[in-house]
Amino acid sequence: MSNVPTLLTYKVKLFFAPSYRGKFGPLPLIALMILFVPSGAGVGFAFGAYMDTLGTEQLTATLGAALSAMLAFGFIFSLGVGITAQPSELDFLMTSPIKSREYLVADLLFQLTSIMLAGGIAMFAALIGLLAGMGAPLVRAIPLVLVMAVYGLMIVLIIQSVTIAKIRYPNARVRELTLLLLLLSAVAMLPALGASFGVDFATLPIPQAAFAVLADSAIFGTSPDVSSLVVAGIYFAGIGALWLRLSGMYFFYGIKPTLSGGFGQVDMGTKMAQQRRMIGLFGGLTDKIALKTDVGGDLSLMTRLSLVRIWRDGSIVFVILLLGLFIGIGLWGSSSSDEPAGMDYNTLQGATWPIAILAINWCYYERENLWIPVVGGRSLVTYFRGLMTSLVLIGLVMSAFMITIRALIQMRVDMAELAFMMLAPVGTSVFAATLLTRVRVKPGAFSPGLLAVLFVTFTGGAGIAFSGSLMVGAIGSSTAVLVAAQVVVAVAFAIAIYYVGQVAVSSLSRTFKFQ
Amino acid sequence: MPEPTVRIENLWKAYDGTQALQGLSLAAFEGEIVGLIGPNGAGKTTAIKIIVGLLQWDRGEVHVFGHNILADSISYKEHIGYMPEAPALPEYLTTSEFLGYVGRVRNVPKEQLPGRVSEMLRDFELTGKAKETVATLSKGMRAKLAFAAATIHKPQLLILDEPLLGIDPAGQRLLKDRLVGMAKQGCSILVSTHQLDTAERLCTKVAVIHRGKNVATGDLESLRGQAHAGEHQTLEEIFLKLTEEAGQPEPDMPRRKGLFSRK
Ligand SMILES: Nc1ncnc2c1ncn2[C@@H]1O[C@H](COP(=O)(O)OP(=O)(O)OP(=O)(O)O)[C@@H](O)[C@H]1O
Ligand SMILES: [Mg+2]
Repeated sequence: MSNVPTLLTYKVKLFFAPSYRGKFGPLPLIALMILFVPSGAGVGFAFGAYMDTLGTEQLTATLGAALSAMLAFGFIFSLGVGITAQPSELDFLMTSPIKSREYLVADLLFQLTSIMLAGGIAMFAALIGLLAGMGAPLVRAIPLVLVMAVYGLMIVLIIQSVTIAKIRYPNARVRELTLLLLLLSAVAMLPALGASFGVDFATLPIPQAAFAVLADSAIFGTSPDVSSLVVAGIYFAGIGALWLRLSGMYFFYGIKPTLSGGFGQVDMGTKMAQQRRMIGLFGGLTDKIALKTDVGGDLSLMTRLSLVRIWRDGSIVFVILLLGLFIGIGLWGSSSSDEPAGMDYNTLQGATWPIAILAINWCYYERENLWIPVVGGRSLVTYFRGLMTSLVLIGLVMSAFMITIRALIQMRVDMAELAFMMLAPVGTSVFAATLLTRVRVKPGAFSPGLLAVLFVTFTGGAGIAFSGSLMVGAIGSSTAVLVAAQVVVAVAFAIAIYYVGQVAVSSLSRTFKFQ
Repeated sequence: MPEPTVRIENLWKAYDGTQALQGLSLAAFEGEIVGLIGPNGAGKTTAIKIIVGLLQWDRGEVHVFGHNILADSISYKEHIGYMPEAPALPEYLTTSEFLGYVGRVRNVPKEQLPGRVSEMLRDFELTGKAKETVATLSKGMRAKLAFAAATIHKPQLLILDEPLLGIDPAGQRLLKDRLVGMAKQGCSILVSTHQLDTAERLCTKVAVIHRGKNVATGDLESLRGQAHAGEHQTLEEIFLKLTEEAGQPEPDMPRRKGLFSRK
């Protein structure tokens, strides 16, 4: 174990030092942590408020569903790569005489450290939000964190064990078993939706149930249930024993690099390799749609280029996942109270974060390719106009989707809300594309530019959405004529924003600096 | 004397801290193949990026097709072809989509585009990969694709940054034949390379660059004279002599200490 401190230091240094060494020191890192605190607290509070309306049995099932989701995520991660290795670790660490277990312990500690450093505050905010949403005293965060920490440690051990088993026993159907377990942990989420199949979730002999009961007693300050303690202990010990056995085996030849440089750092080479893997993963499906280069005008070509990229390089998956997440949370929140405020905030998030993520993905994956339009002369202006148009189109599809869901649930359509949901993604897209003509993510250092993209697009999009919905709301909707006026104003506002964006992006891209 | 296709004069460029160019001058006339040679970090890529409009510079003048590129920094690009040193390619496009995209960016008429694309794919033995994404190509295939993209619009000035890297012998031969063919038709070619035997045979003129400025420029004969080298000495020997005379490499950067220590 003597190499563990060295390995851990190397991994932490590689991951965090770049974000610390930039022009602004650790400030961007701190800002990023704080940026997600409101979201974390909001999500936690919505979840807590929802759970507060539940009976004990249903509450345990819901907590268990959250734990099952964590476990499922662990299984998915272990089916993929399982170990957080940098490319340089493959080249330099894994070719030197280091024991498997030393590396695994270092990686485990690294994962826990980095999760705490990167998302710790936001996660803590979510926990506090949860307790506040349930009206429980906040000191109960301490036992709750403890339960979650043990559970989290167990998941990391599972991830590492599956990863090694997968590499060492290629014929043992480890993948199939993992998929089965993944499926089972998805099934274990059903009781939270009311499908209990006549069994009491809390008494099921599965780790999620046991840890959920323990988390329950942490939240309510009751003494822990003995049988749950025993079940949790057995699972933890069993997985620990399995890990001890597997971690002695050599597995370095089966590892693929997962991380690309440090936290917030962009190693273009690895980013490109990741993008390549994504493209390969979706290949058969996604290249059914082709980019026809010999038809259409320049703006149309560039718009389609951007859409094809988002479709093929996996960015679309982020969009769908995020959108689904916020719709889900919004639905959860709105079913717990009559007041749709929670849902508004979550639809705002659903309408804006996916676009912001697309903008960041653009910085990672596409900016380097910009040499093509830059050396091509006139086409850079159309490139950015096309990028903006593609984001607006995606945003409009997202809002159409959210509006449909909302209309189905509420059985009524409020024009001001409708305008809000249409304008949020349009505004975000316009801000994002405009910003991308200026923001530069420097390879090798944590970039405040990324923060700017996240922050400015979110607040800008929200601002436009609020002002638009205020305007539309002020018109009133008592007569059909007024409703028609509302529609006209909302659409005209969206078009005006888009047009202003196109003009801005055209003039900014003329002085774009590639390097 | 006719105006050179590209002419740079007394070019200076500093990245924050590093002086990359310190008074570089260069000219390429119609039909010339000019080799840029120099040690790692000499400033070849920097000079090339400035000419193609990817990088701003601090001091000096750049004229392409007789026009100051500061006066109109867009329209001169139409007749330039460029192959970067490590080209970032849109991995998500298929090879034929990529060439079509570059063709459009380079103003190839739409109706000629499909023909041009398949011709390029055929010439560089990429027809079998026409419908595959760039992500699936090998290193040498990428280089060939980047070269195809640089020439799809039949440029009058071709600028190549180490184009032969990773390409197999047959492919290298093909590329070199193409360059000679294009030069015969009046295209000016500026090519940086570390393959001095190739440069010796291919280039009509060579600029030896060291620490951001020319230490010698001309054809092989005049380089021999400038280096006081014997009649039978190769470009490699001349190069080593010239760059050694110009000075030793700079000392290494001081080491960083500590976990999070800064510059
Ligand atoms: N983006 C950058 N930021 C800071 N310094 C840079 C950057 N790019 C190049 N340099 C520095 O400028 C100098 C010239 O680099 P350049 O890439 O032009 O060299 P080169 O002649 O192309 O070398 P090689 O043969 O290795 O390709 C080097 O000292 C290099 O470290
Ligand atoms: Mg170079």
